[in-house]
Amino acid sequence: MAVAMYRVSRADYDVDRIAPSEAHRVRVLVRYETASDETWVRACLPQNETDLFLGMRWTDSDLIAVSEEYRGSNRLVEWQGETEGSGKVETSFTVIARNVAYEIDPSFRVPGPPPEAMLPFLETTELIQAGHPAIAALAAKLAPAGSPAVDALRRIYDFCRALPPARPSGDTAHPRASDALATLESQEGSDLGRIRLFTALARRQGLPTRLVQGVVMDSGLQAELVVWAEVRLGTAWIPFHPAGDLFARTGGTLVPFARGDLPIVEADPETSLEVRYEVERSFAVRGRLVEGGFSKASTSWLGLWGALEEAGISVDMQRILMMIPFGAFVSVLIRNVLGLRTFGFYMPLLIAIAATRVGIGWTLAAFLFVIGIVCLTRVAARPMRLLHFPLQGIMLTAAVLAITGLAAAGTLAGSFRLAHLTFLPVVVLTIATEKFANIIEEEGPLEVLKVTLMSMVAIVLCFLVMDSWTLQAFVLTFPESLLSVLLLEILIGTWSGLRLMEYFRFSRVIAAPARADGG
Amino acid sequence: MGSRQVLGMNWRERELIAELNPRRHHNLADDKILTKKLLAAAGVPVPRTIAVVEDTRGVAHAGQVVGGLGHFVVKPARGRAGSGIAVLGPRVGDGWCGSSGVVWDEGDIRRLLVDILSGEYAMRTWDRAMIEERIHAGPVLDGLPAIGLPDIRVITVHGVPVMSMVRFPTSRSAGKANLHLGAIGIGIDLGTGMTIAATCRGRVLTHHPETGRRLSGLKVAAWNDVIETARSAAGAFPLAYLGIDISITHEGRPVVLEVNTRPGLEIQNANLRGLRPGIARVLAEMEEPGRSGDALT
Repeated sequence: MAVAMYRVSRADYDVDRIAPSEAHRVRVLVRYETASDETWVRACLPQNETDLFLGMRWTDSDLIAVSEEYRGSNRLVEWQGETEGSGKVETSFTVIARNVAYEIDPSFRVPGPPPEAMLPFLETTELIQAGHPAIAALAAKLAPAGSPAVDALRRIYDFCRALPPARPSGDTAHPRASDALATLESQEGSDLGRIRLFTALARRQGLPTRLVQGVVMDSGLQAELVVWAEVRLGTAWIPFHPAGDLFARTGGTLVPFARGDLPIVEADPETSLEVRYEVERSFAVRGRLVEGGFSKASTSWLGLWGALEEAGISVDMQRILMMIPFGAFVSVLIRNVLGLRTFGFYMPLLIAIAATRVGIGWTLAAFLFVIGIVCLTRVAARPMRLLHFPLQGIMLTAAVLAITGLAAAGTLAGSFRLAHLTFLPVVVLTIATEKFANIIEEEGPLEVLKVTLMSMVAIVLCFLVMDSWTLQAFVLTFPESLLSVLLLEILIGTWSGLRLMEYFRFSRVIAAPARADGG
Repeated sequence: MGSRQVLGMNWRERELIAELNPRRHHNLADDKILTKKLLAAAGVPVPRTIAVVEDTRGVAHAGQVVGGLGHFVVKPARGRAGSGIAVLGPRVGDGWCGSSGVVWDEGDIRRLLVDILSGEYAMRTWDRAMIEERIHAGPVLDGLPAIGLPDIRVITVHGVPVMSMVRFPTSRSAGKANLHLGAIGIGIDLGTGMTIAATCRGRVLTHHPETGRRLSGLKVAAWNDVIETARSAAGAFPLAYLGIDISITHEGRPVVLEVNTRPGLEIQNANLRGLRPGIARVLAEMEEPGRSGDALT
């Protein structure tokens, strides 16, 4: 800690510039089925913006990328191929989104005639009926002519936000079901319907407004597309997302893919598409994303991480590596200070690493599931009276099958996150199961239940430390903090006191009155 | 009494095992074959070894060896927590009756031997097996009938007994003297050989849960011989902190079953007292020149 403070205060160490930031890895997976021998797939993809930095990009495609162009405010990438049948186009990238809150001048009013470039954003369209009398009447009611822009937007935003979600009906798939007018008339609407109504009302006020489609960087589960609006105030496009409670701010969670009421991914008429989006929390070094090079960061540890990243080892991998000593330290605390008994010293740590990818709930469920399956396998194999090592091999295979089955089931059910269950350390789990079986045999089922519970507590504790974003950023910025772990471990290693659980175990001995020494 | 009197795992590992039991000698206690050789050489009574099986050729030979036996025990040399031990006899037809009533034939015994050799029950990946005479238990506590083979655990420091307990099997522990499985730990006053307190699975017991007999105030059979055997056994090892497991034969003779370099801590609950004062006293006396360190008994 002292070294870290020295470096920040005296050694010109610009933390904000070189510290790794919370980032997200976004994956777009397009599966296509085509009858055409000249297939094309076109996608609107995010681009660098003032509040959005795009990092490493990867593409894995059965088609060939033929063009990348900027049209309007969108970045369009097109792939083409000459093969019939099915295939995929997968593209992923790292994103750091800043949380930007805009301050709107309270006296700002709609200026006179808009510049020509803004006219398309004031139009009335088939689905955004800004000129319809009902919309005009509502706009006038919410904000009389000449109201300050911020007041008008607040009232329109609050009105759209307060509309209840649309009840499901047979017609919800029809585009008209979610247009501005239908939403107004039914006094309920989907997210898209509400944002179209917002856009129509804002346009009616003379404020250039456009739809934005993108994803919210929320979790590792399959991401849904969301829509929000951007309003031109002065020289900036300012976001409004009633469904996400974002008024004139980005929240650091919005990744825009396309602006305008157009499909994000489209293909030639003979090709059908299935598009999935996945968002996963990650780390990235913003300095590198912005500047694309080592620059000043090369004088710091982040230069090292950057160099490793260029060598193909992601910051994510480095972060896990750097967190392992902290996880091990937690394991030391669990064993030597708390006195919990687990299925092996490294087991909680290694399973916690998997949990940082999969989520702690799923990991614990998978842990129990795999132990259960492997245990059943052991019981089922017992009548065969197999020799020890072949039995170990069979148990390991059962563990792999259980994990693969879970991961496959999860992925088919639409959760990419469960695919990461394959990160579960199978060998460690198999050894844990072996210990589980030994404890049942040698110490009985009650003891094995206790050890299972204590193991799960240990996994959760390791996970909480290893998943701490603050600690991860700190360790990547100040790797010398590992020295403090060493010092603490030396301290614990020389400590001979009772472990916490021993106070309970020997509570009667501690409370017993001193006896005359009979021996 | 206070927590400073209680021996915890950290203190045991750092102050006792690391300091008093040099790692290079652990093998002498961890390997039952070596243990028995050492004890027999020192004149300490141990169960007679019938055969040692070191490899698969020995497995075939073992079939012939056990063929003529009525009662015997098969055990791994380096087994963990009593696993891999088969107590066999009497003969039932072509086989032997096991402790749970299952009949073992020669093929079953060969399979157990192969499992033992492949390290299934061991503290490492391979092991040796031992066939030894079966000890028929004599009465350990006066008037208290035993199921299975009870034993007496004596903790010694530099050869001086500092605490002791009887590990008394129950039907719940399937006749095994294993506290985790439900055997009763009964603390013993070292000076008198009388039982003082008892514990089972973390509970204090005053009476036997199955027979209802009182557990304190019972005299341990051949107590002076037990203590002398523990002393002699401990003296045979270049290790200063040991748990000596002793059984009493039906002739009333103590025999050493096992020696542990890392004896468990539950003995403190069985005696309702901590181990540290006794250990500290012995260590202090060992430092005084001219003292033999036998003041505790």
